[in-house]
Formats: sequence, structure tokens, C-alpha cells
Amino acid sequence: MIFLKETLNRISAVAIKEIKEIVRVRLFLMLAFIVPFIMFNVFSFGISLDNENMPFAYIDYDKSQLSAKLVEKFKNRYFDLKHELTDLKNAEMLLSSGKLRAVMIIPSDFSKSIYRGNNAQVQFLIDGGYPFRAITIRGYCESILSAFNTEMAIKKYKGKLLTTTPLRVETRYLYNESLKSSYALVPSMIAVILLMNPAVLTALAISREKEMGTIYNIYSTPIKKWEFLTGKIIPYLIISAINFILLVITVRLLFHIPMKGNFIDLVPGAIVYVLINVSIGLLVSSVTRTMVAAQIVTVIVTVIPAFLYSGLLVPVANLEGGAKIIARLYPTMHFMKIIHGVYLKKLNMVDLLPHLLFMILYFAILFTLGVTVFKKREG
Amino acid sequence: MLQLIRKELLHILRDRGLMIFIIYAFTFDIYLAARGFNLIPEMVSISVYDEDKSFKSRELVEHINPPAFKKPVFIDNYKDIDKLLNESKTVISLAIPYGFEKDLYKLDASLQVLVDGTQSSTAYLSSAYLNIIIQKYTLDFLKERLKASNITGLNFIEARSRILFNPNADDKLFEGINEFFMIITLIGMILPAAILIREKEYGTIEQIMISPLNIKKLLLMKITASTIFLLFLIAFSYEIILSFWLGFNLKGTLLEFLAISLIYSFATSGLAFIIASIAKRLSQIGLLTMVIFAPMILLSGGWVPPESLPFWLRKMTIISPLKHYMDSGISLLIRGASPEQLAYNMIKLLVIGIIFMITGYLLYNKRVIKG
Repeated sequence: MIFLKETLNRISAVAIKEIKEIVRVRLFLMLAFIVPFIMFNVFSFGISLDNENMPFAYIDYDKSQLSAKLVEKFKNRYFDLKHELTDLKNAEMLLSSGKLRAVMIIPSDFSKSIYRGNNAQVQFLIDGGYPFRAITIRGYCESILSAFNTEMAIKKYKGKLLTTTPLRVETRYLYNESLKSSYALVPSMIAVILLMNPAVLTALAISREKEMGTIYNIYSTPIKKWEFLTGKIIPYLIISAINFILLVITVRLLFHIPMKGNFIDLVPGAIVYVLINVSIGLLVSSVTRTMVAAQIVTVIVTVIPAFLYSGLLVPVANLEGGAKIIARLYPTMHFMKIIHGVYLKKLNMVDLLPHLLFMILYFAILFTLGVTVFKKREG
Repeated sequence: MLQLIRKELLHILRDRGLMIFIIYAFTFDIYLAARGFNLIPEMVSISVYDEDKSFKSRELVEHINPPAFKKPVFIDNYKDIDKLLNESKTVISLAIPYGFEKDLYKLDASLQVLVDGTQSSTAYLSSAYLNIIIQKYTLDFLKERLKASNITGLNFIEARSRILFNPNADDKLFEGINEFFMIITLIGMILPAAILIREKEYGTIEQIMISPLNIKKLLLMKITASTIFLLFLIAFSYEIILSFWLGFNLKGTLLEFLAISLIYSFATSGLAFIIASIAKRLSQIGLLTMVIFAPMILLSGGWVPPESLPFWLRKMTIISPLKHYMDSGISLLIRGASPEQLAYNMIKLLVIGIIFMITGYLLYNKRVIKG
């Protein structure tokens, strides 16, 4: 019992010292709370992948009733129908300077071919400066056109053969009915922010002692390595817990995104996830010597996997081979699944248990590694 | 004068941590971004629940092919659709109901498509891909049917879409160049800020105050040194990483790109002054830079289309230097715009740069030199 008490004493001593240090460096304290908050908001606003109001213009060489009808179809929330252009050169100029995203060209024989019984063609020129937007715009254009075709066919053969669309496709977006990218992306950003921030702060905490030389005090005390490291991470766990709650509130109040599941189901995952990331910070600062180096290495090892292999932008189901294995080995994917599960799919803790267990195992390995690599002596 | 520039350049080169970061950023980071990010869905994983098991239903499924889709996973239980989507094993599911073939001949059939809406970047495009496949199949079928019943004259409007400047909509080209702009911005702020703060941290700024050296001249030399170094890095990365390693076919000349980067560096150096005035130590620069960098990304137009931003944010993009730099850079490197087309943007960028520079200098003067 006495051992236990001494251990607890030593851990709390380190933790209290660390908290005092954080509170007394005001800029650091500010950065601990404000940086994640700003980053979260910026990324959440900024990462929206919805393409709306795309500047769009058309050249109508045909000037028929039919062509006017087609143009009318492009007046929707996806396009910002700018104006009618008269010549191709002007259109290309506007596309190459980025003023327009797409131009539709209706040829002069457009309505004539249709009435004569041939197929007509319409050309779309799309700005390839931003490929994702280009492909999406092409999708919009071709969908609008195929709806227009079906409409024409029904009108023509009404009563004879067709009464309605011959093959109806009922598309349902599960978990996110209105398909707002923010519904999936904004909660995901919690995982990204809770990855970077605790890791960077913890890495700084240990490298600061190294850089300032106060680590020598630790070398000469009876404290055990794991006790020291545990004490060190407690304040950052508290900071991250506060940040986590702040972010969940922000998602609700600022972005108006409802949580379909239960908040309680999110908590264990968040705790283990933060523990993992704090351990990443520990591990990095055990091998680097200066604060600058510790920051840099931490950002490199956390940011890229967070964006590339987490399922944030590219679904893990679509990854192939090596990338798929990497995604499964990083903790972010697992926490992201828990977030999506609770926020959108209304899953509970039991459904998400495999991900949680994997993360606990991950933490155990990482913390042990951190304790082993950390040296309580010089050299 | 040259001595001073040389001193600052040596300082940069001898800071090992900073150098490793800079080299990593201008080489591997750009390479990884170009290779790793691909927002355009390819090989989407799809499951098919075919209750009809008829000739026509199989014919339809045969149209679902790479590169848009992976080979479909067949399931024989409607409940499995939910299970696969719940576990994010597939992104999209197609359910073909019993009697599909019969209904199709009556021209009154229906299909159900279920999409995992949590996969935001992929959900819309995958369902659009699938819809276009189905529509095409329907129109072909309809034509065949009408022919059989001797009705002619069903005509369609065909779309001929051409994507300009990047015909295959190769996302690597864009992601690589986008990351290139991010890195230029980041290093463009960190490098001068690190140089400006070093004297403050080491206390050598006191020495300079009492030396006959003019402090304004010293600051000018510091900024000149970091700008020269930055331009060198840009040229290196442009030639070696973008053109050679990634094999991008960039339009516009290196000289033109360096010219617009030089104008851009006024703005980033101005921001570096502001960072160096606020930060107390070198180690604080990293986090402070992120605070400034994050809003710049949002307003740049590289991640989110500026047209889709809320109105007030759209208006704010006018003061974002990265937006103007990015617009001009993409126009120059990908779209191949002429310098005259970029002139207006460049003037805006220059004005912003000068304003940032003056603000930064005044702040630095007040907080560091006088303070």
C-alpha cells in the first residue's frame, strides 16, 4: 500500500508541476485551446466538398425554342448561370483566367437535327484547373442532359408506348439524407484535431525539459520512468478532454449537425484515442532533442496519415493493397469509424467494440514503447 | 551588404532542424500529396443484390466496370446491404427487385440504389457514375424496343464534354501543385520569422542596437536573404520534383512563376514580421504560423470552391494573398494563361503585400526594436 501511495504522490507531483508550468506561460495556454478551436473551424468550413454556384455560361448558335428550354434546365443551385456569350474565343479566355468553370455550346443545327430525326450534340467545355470540380461539373451536366432526354422521349410517345420513365432509379443516401458533405466531414475533423494537438503539446512538454536542461532534475530523482511519463501526460489529457467537449458543442451549435447516436458511446473511444496521441508525442520527444525538431517530427507523423489514410477524404473501402493495410494500422481510421457510427449511423458501443479494442491494444503497445525508449540518463 | 546576406544565409543553412523540415517539405511532402491524394473516386466498392437473377439484370450488372467501380460483390440477402454499408465495407449498393426483367419489357421498372452518405467526397460522384450507366442502358434498351415495334424517330441529345487544360482530369497534377503552393506559403512565413526572431532569442539584437549598423538596413537584408533562399527552393522543387520526378507537363516558364512568387513573398514576409513580433521564442513560431495559415487555406479557393463559400467569406477572399497567388499560379501552370491575363491579379497581390509589409514592420518596430 505504501508503494502505491508513493507512486501516486510522485505522479501527482509531476502532474501538478506541469499544470503550473502550462498555466504560467500564457501564450502556451492560449495556443493549447485556441489553436485547435481555430483549426477545427477553418477546416470544417473549408473542407466542404459541395460544389454549388459554379459560374457557368453558354453560347447558343441555334436560338430555338428547344435550345432555350435546355438552357433553362441549368438554372439551379449547382450553377450560377452568368450570361450568354457570343464567341468561342471569349469563352476560352474566361475559362483560362478562371472566371468561368464551364461553358455549354449549342451548335446551329441543334434543333434541326432533332426535328429531322437525328441525334443532336451539345458540347461542354469544362475548366480542368481543379480536377475534382471538373469531374463533378461533368456529372451535373450529363445528369441534367439525360433527364432532359427522358423528358423529351416521354412527351413524344405519351400514350403510345411510354407513360413514365421506363426505368426509375430510386437513390437513397443513407445516414446523410440530404448529402451534405459537412455532415460527415465536420465530425470527422474532431479526430484530426484530437490527433495533432495532444501529440504536439506532449512532444513539446518533454523536449522543453531537455532543451532547458531541467530534465537533469528528473534524472537525479527516485521517480520511475513510467511514473514520470504518466505524470507528464495527465495535464494534456485534461486539456484534450476540455477540447473534445468544446468541439462536440461547436459541432452542435455552430454547424448545427445533430448527433443521431448517444454522446456516451463516443466518450470511451475519445479517451483511448487521446491516450494514443499523447503517447505518440511522448515517443517522438524521447528520440528528438530540441523543441523545434519535436514539433516538426510530430506534425509529419500525424498529419499525413490523418488526411490520407483515415477515410476522411478517400473511403478506406476504396483503398487498395498497401494503403489499405496502412489505414488499418493507424488509429485515426478506427476513431473516425466510431465518430461516423455515433454521429450518423446511430450505432452504439457494442457495434463499435472491435474498433475500441484495437485502439486499446494500440495504446498499450505505444506507451510501453515510449517508456522503453525514454532514457533516464544521459547518452 | 553582401556580407549581411551571406551571414543570414549561413544561419539558415546551419539550422539543422529547420533545414530538414524545409527539404522534406519541398520534396517528399509534395510528392506524397501528389501521389496520395485522389479526391476523384476510382474503383469504388459496390455490392449488388440481384433478386431477379434474369438475363436483363445480369446484363445491366455487366456494365458496372473498372475504372469507376471495382468488381461488384454479390449478396443474396437484403439485410446484408445494411450490414456492408454500416461497416463501411462498400460505398454503394444496387438492389434489383424481383420481376425487374418483366417490368422492363413493360417499360415500367425500378431499381434501388443505396449510398453511404458518410463518404462525402465519393457518395455523390459514385451515385452519378452509376446513374449514368443505368440511364445509358435504359436508352439503349428503349431504342431496341422501339425498333422492334417499328417506331423510329426517337432522338437524343448527346453530351460531348471536354475538360480543358487537363483532359484526363488527372488529380495528381492539381494536388501536387496545390501542395506546392501550401509549402511555399508555409516556408515563406516560417523562414523569415525564424530569421527575425533569432536575434531576439539569442539577445544579439541588443548588440546590433548599439552597433553603427542601421537596423532598417539589417531587416531589409534579412528579408532579402530569406526571399533569395525561398526562390531558390521554389526553382529547385519546380524543376526537380514537379517537372522531373512527378513528370508534370507544366505550362508557363519558370521565370514567370518565380516572378509571381516574388510578388507573393512580400505578403508572406509581411506576415512573418507579424508572427515574429508576437512570438517570444523560436519554438512558438510553429503554432502561431498555423493560426495564420489555417484561415489562408480556407480563403484560398484550393480546397473549397470560393463560389460555394457563404457570402461574407466570399467577400473576404479579396484580402487573402494565397487566393490571388493560387488563381494566378493555377492559371499559369495548368491553364497556360498569358502574363497579360494575370496582370490584374498581380497588382492586387502587390497591394496586399505592401499593406502587410508596412503593418508587420510597424508592429515589429513597436514590439521588438523599441520594446
